[in-house]
Amino acid sequence: MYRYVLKRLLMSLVVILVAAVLIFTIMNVVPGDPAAALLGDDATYEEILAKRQAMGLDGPFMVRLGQYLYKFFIKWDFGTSWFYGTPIINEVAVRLPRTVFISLINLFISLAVGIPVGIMAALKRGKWQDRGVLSLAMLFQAIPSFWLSMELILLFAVRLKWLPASGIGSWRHYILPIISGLLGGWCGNARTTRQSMLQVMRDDYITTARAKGLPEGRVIIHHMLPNALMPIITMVGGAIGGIVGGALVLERTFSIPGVGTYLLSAVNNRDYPVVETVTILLAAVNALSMLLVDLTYGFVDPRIKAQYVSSTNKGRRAVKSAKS
Amino acid sequence: MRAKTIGNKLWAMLLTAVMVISMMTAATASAEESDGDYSSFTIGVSSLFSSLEPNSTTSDYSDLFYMPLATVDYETGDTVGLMGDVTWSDDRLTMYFEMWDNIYDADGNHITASDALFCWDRAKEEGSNLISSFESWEQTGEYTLEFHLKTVPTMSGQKLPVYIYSQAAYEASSDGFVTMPVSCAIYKVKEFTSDYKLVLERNEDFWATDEQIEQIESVLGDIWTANWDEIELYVISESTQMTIALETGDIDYSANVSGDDLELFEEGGEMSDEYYVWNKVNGLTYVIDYNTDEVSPLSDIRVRQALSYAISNEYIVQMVFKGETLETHEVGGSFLIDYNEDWNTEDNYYQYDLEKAKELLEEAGYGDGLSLTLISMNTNALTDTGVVLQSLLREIGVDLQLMPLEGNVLTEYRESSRSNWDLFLKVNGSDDYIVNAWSKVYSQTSNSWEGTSGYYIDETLDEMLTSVSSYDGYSEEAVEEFHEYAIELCLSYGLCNAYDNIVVERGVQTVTDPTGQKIYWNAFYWE
Repeated sequence: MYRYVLKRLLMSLVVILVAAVLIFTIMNVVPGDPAAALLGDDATYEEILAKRQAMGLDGPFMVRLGQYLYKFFIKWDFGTSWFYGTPIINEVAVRLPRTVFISLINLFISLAVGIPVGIMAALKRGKWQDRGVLSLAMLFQAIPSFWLSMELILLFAVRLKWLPASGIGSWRHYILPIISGLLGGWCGNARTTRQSMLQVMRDDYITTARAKGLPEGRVIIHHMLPNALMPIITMVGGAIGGIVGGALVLERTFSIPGVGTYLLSAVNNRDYPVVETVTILLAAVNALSMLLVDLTYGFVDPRIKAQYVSSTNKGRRAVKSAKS
Repeated sequence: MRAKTIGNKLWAMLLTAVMVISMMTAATASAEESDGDYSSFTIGVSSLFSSLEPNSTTSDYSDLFYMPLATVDYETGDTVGLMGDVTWSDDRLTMYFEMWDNIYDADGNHITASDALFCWDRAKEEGSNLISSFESWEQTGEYTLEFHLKTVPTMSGQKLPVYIYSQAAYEASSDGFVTMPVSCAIYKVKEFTSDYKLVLERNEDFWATDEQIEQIESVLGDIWTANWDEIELYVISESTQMTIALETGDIDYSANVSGDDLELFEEGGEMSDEYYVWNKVNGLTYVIDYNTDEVSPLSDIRVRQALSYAISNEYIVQMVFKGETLETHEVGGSFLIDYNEDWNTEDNYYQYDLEKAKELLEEAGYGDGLSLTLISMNTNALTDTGVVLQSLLREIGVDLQLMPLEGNVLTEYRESSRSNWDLFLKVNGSDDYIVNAWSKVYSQTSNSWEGTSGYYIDETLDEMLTSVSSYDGYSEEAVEEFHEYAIELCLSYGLCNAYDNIVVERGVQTVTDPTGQKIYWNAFYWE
């Protein structure tokens, strides 16, 4: 199992490396001159050329790529923002907690609400509870999150004056962004859970468990839910991967200086180092969350864990027989 | 059937609830009444710096908490010392600066010439383009410095633009002034959160004597008046949120309210009791550059003139800007210091004349019409202006294709091929002299190609521009002569001034410099 984990970690590293090369290449071929963007419209052509030289943009592509990968992965130098002149890692370190806080709270509450609601909908299939959940889920998924956020602001900040409309500063500033994200977020969890539970409910072992006289609650928690968890785990894995960069719309709507808005302004300003560093960070978080999902599969489903172990043993046996 | 009825009822209740919530949220709350209190003036901005480091922040608000050695009186072009006195060498290539000896920063550090030298050397190390006019500089005494220029400055004067601070304070700072600078200005930084909030508080120990303040303000206006205890800047990136912030009274001032929401604050609007809209002409002018390269039909001057005759500046002002700005008859704004108001009514600036336009097109061989491409940035105002131009030029048989592009893409698109465009609609910036506006359009040496922004090469134009932009060559006659020649060549065409719609809390009087361009929030006052 440990070998499997190590192998997956190495693969994740390769994925991150490939992502770094890709994003560096893409940023170097998109239209727009970062030196011109930085200096503004009043800059002369000579000034722009001098700035490009100072920014290291005049060298051959492969040399610049090599230097970039060396600095990033060997020296752990994540660079300085061209536009703001500040170390990128410092800025990300300040902004990350705000982004992660909103995303994590959204994730936990979405799961805490979505999974039980999904289970209830599955158990009450066809009844008003099921129809109600599906209708609400469809409604909230269809409503654009931006519109929802604005309505909440107009109601709670402007009309009722209960909460601040934007910004950061106290825990009260985070309530509206969290509610906005939550109202759309629980729907997917509920629907996935319901679907997954419906598939499991028809299995023979559930009928057997009921026939043995087990209480319904035990049947649901000890027999249905563990087997219905796989799609839910996949969904959670995707949500974890989106924690760092997934709150962009909320950050912009509520003027929260998080990682999302940092990345957005970097793209607009052609601030290559920031785009590259933050994107690699997102790739790393996604790669690690996928690894976590795969390991959790093994934890939840012994059959999958056996596959992981046997594939490693197969590899060892193949090596042994080749040597002999 | 019963279940279906219950389901339908539930749907109806839900939709009703959504409708009611929408209607409730549509109601607005009124902002709190003002009370003439000077404790805090809050400004909503769409973006803010990530760093307050002196070489990476240059803006209207950084001038509140940083000071340079000298600035320029835009009306006269004279350099005015803010921290001492300036004199010039006879050849105007050297500036002699004598600092006052009573300058201290907010922490009590004494600022001398060695600190100024440190600041200028750092600016050079950081690659600041503010010092590109300077060849070198040196400290010549405890309070004296010399600055050597590469060329004689133009008639719009020469600043000493590098912000000054104490070397000791900078070296003691844990982050190089990124989040908490210490400077010697009228305000000091109290609180800073990158990309979110900047709070400035009045520097109660501001070093300038009453005589020094009076001397500077007699020339530059209320540059050092600090009426407010605190000035706060909040970043609100979403335009709807900006309007909401004004409605809730969270901010007192914003220049970033969307056009759709402005009517709330104008006379008769729901919020007009609490706010008013200040239409301030800014330093930008809407201008069309013509492509004079042989690949474009506009290489023929008759075609350029025809287009100019077919464009009605007044129509654009009415249709795009609702009459709330001024036409211009140059590539710089009509508010500029040396703009001659007689130009507005002279006959030779292609006053709107469709018949003349058609005649010229016929002469040039395009009597049956032609197809042209207009490129511009994809801002609302430029796109709307493009649409109006399309309708105006259709009257003379010109089919104008519009191509609005994002800023960085636009530059590369324009430079990639001369045949990509025929007209370039842009904003031209200058907030002091018309000759500076001319330099940006008619200079033949500041582009990556030889020629003006429309590829025109003309030795006489170049010589006249160099002469009128120089301190010795500048005169009313030279300005008039260049104006006439530029019209004759018809390389570009000015449309109208750009302006800002600024929402201000009612009762607060705004203050600008004598040119009307630079805003002094620090000097705003209650009526």
